[in-house]
Amino acid sequence: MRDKSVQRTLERTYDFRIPILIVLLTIVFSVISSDFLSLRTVNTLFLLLPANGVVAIGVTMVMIIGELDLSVGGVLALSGLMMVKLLPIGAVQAVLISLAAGAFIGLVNGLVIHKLKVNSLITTIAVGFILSGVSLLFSEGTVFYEQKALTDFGNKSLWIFPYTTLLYFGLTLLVQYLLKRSTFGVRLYAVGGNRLSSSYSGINVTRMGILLFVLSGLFASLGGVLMAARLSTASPLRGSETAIVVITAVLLGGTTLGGGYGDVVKSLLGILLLSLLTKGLTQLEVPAYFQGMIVGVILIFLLYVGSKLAERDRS
Amino acid sequence: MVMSLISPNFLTLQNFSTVFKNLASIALLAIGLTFVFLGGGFDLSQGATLILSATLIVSINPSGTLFFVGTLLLIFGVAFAIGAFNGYLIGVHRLNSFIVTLGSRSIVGGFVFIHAAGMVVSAARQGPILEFIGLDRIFGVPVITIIWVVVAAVSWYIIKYTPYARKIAVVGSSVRVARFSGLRVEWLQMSTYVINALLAGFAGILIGCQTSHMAPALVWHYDFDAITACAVGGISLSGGRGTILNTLSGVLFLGFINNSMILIGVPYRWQLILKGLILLLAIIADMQTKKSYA
Repeated sequence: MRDKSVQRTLERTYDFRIPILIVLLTIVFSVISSDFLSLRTVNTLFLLLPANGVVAIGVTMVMIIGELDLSVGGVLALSGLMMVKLLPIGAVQAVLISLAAGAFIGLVNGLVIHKLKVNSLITTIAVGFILSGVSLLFSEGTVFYEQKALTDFGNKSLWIFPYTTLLYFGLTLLVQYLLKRSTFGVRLYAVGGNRLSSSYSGINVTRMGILLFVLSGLFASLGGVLMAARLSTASPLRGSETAIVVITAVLLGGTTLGGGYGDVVKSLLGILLLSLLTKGLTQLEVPAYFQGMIVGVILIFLLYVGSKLAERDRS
Repeated sequence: MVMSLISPNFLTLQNFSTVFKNLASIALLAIGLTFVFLGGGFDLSQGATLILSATLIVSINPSGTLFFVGTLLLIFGVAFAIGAFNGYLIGVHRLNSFIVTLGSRSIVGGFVFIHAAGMVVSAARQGPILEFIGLDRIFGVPVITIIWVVVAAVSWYIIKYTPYARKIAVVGSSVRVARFSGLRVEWLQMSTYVINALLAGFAGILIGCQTSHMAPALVWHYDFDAITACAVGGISLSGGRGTILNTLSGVLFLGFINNSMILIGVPYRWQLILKGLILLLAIIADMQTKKSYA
C-alpha cells in the first residue's frame, strides 16, 4: 500500500521533471553567481529562445511521426543569408521569399522521403550537405545589414518579453492547439503510432509526411530569419549545431524518437531548460566547446533513459 | 576520359600517384563504415575520431621507436574506447545509431578542442618515423599508399571469406533472423563500431604523419566523404549488403571527382553541392534496387 503511494509520487514527480529541473538549475546558478537571478537575465534568456525554439516546433512534429529532419541547420543558415541578401527589395518581401525557400526545401525532403521511400535521416543529411554549399554561394562569410525595423523586432522587448519570444510562444500555443484539438492532430498521432493501420483507416500517410517536412522547413527558415533579425548578421556557418541542439531539447522535453508521442509545449520546456543551462554556463565562463560536449552527453543520456523507459512500459 | 581532355594535368603519373596517396584517409574511413553498414548501423562520429587521433599524434610527435609504439597504442586505445562506447550503446542497448554517434561526435569534437585549446597544432620538427610514414616512398610508391592498400586487401579478405563477416551481414539484414539463428547480435554489432573507430584512428595517424599539423576546426570536414563513397559504391545503407570492392570503387570515383574538380578549379561551394547531389542520387538508387529485390 505504502509502496504504491511512494511509486505514484515518484511518477508524478517524473511528469514534472522539466519544470523542477528548471527551478533547480536557476537556484544553483543564482547561488554560484550572485547577479544571475534578475529580470535582465530572464530577458536575455528569452531572447535566446525563439530561433532554436521555432525550429524545434517543426522538428517535434516530424518526430511525432517517427522521423527526423537533420537539414534544419542548413535551412536556418540559408534562409538567414537569403533574407539579408534580399533586403534591398524590401523587408517583407525578403522575409516571405526566405520562408518560401525553407518550405520548398522541406517539400524536396518530403518528396524524396515519402514518395521515393528513402530513410529520412540519410536524405536530410545529404540535403543539409547541399544546402551548406548553396549558402556559400550567397556569401563566404558573415554579412551585415542595416534595417532598423527588423533589428528592432529582433531585439526590442515588451517588459521582459522580447517580441520574437512572444511570437514563438504564440506559435507554440497555436500548434499545440492544432495537435491536441484538430483532426490534423488526431491523424498526426495516429500516423506516428501505427503507420499501417492509419493508412488502412483512410489517412493519406504520404501527403501527411510531405506536409510535415514542408512545415519543418518553414519553421527552420523562420528560425533563420529570427536569428538574423536578432544578430543583424547572417553567416553560412551558423546552423552547424542547430540540429543536435534542437533534437536534444525536443528529447529533453519528453517527445520520443519512436513516434506517436510528444507535443510542442514539452519542446518549449526542453528549449527553455537547455538555454538556461547554456546561459548559466556562459555566465560562469565555461568555454563553448565544453557546452557542445555537455549537450552531447545529455543527448546520449536521454536516449538511454528513454529506451529503458520504453522497455519498462512494454514489459 | 572527359577529365583528361579538359585538364592536361589529369593523365600524368604524378597526378595518379597524388590521388592515390590522398585517398588514404577517405579509403580507411569508408572501409570502416563498410563494416558498420554491413551490420545495419550508421556512424557520424568517425570524422571527429580521425581528427582526435591526428591531433594526438602531431602534438605528441614521438621521436624514438619505443615512444612511437607507445603513442600508437595510446591512440588506438582512445579509438577503441570511442568505438566501444558507440557500439555498447547501439549494439547492446539498441539505441538509435544516428543520434548516439551525433552525440559522441560532439563529445569527441569537444575533446579535440580542449586538447588543442582551439588552436592549430603543429609539430615543430617532425620525428623521423612520422616523416617516413608521411612522406617517404618505397620503390617509388608512397608509404601511405602501401599501408592503405594493405588494409584494404586485409578487409577485403575478411569480408569476403570469413564467417565473421557473414554473421554481421545476417545481423544487418535482419536482427530477428540473426537472433533466431543464435547469433550474438549485440556483440557482433558492437564489434563493427570498434573496427570502424580503430580504422578512423588509423586514418588520423596517417593524416597526422602526412601534414604534421592539424586544425581542430577541421573536425567537420571528413564527415560526409566516406558515407558518400560507400553509397556511391553500392553499399546498402540499410544493412546486409556490400563488399570492399564496392567501397573501393566508390572511394576511387569520389577521389577522382574531388581531384578533377580541384584541377579544373571548381569553387569549394560547388564541390559541396555536387557531392551532396551525388550522395542523394546514390541513396535514392540504393532504395530503388532494394525495392526491386523485395
